[in-house]
Amino acid sequence: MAALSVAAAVVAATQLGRAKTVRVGVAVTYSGVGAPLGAEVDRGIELFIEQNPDAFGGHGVELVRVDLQRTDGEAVPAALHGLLKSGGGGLTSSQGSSSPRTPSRARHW
Amino acid sequence: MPTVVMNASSAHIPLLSPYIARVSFSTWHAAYPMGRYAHDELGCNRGAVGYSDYSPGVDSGHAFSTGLEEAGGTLVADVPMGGSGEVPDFVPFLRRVIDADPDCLWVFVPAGAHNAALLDAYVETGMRDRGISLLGPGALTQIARLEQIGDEAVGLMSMHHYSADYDTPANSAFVEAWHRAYGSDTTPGFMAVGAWDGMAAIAHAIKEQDGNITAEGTMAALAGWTHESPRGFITIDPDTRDIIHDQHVHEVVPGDLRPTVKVVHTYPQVRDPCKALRIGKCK
Repeated sequence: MAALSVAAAVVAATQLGRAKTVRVGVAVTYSGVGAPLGAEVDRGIELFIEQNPDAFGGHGVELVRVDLQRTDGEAVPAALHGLLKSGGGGLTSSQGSSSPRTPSRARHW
Repeated sequence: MPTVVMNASSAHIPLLSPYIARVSFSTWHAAYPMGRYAHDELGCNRGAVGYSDYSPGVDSGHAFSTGLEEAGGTLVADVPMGGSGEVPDFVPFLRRVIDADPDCLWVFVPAGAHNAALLDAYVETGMRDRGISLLGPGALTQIARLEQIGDEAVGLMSMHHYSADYDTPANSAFVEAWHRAYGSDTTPGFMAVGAWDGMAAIAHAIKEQDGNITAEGTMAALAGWTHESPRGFITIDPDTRDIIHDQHVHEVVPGDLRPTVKVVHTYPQVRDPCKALRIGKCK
């Protein structure tokens, strides 16, 4: 619901030298009445990454977004897990066109 | 899959799985001490609770009434105010509260559109003129909202762990960075700080495990982790995986350009009272 937001980290799919890219699932409300809250969460996440590039021990993160309003009844942990394991393409129904942040795979840092 | 909760606030959430840690807050962090404070310091002998009828709303109302009654007060109205999806008309709910003639009303509704509509209804029903104090968690006194409603907000009180008006070096740096990134017409609230701290927790877990993430390793990295947040110092309680942080009583006071949030009392480093007292789902 509107007040829920979680982030979940799983092992990275990619590795360059010793630096890994850790895929971090972000499940918030990107559409509906909670959309402004989801946007604020996104901004907080992105600002931390931008302001603290050295906090990750030399590793990178890739954000994988799930819209909690659009999981089609699938339990959020299952939806998130599927998306993370599949590399971002597993939950097309959650990538609503009404969402301002539709891409499930975001940029790399 | 290790999970960091950045905002969901029902008290029992970290107990759902050994692989959940929470950096945001429990509804009990604010509501329970505010029940006691309202009775002891604000003269609220007859209290009321109004909340959106969903898990954190019910939880928050229960927490406030528990604190109030433990301090010697009486709960005179317990009013569910619609759901958390569609924004209801809050006026009829507030009229029921007024009929019970309380000294104060604690509210918990979703931040955002619900909160805005509730404040409008508070003004419309003339509750303040009747001497009924409106109390709530931090959403009630978020700066973005104060800018919109202006002097009508003066006198509102909240208990919470964050306001963008905190005058500390860590918070000033955070707010300045936010303004640079997103414009000076936007102000970060507790949702933003929860997200910032959530990424700080995840960064710490990645660093500690050198990028090889496991659920066990992540929870081990976060147990007892301490971090200087824009809200102040936070720690993940190794016993409950929930956050320990300061709770501040906020009062909205007149300001130069807009009303501002003044901290009038601080409860340092509060552990979730629901789990400390083992109440309800927190047993």
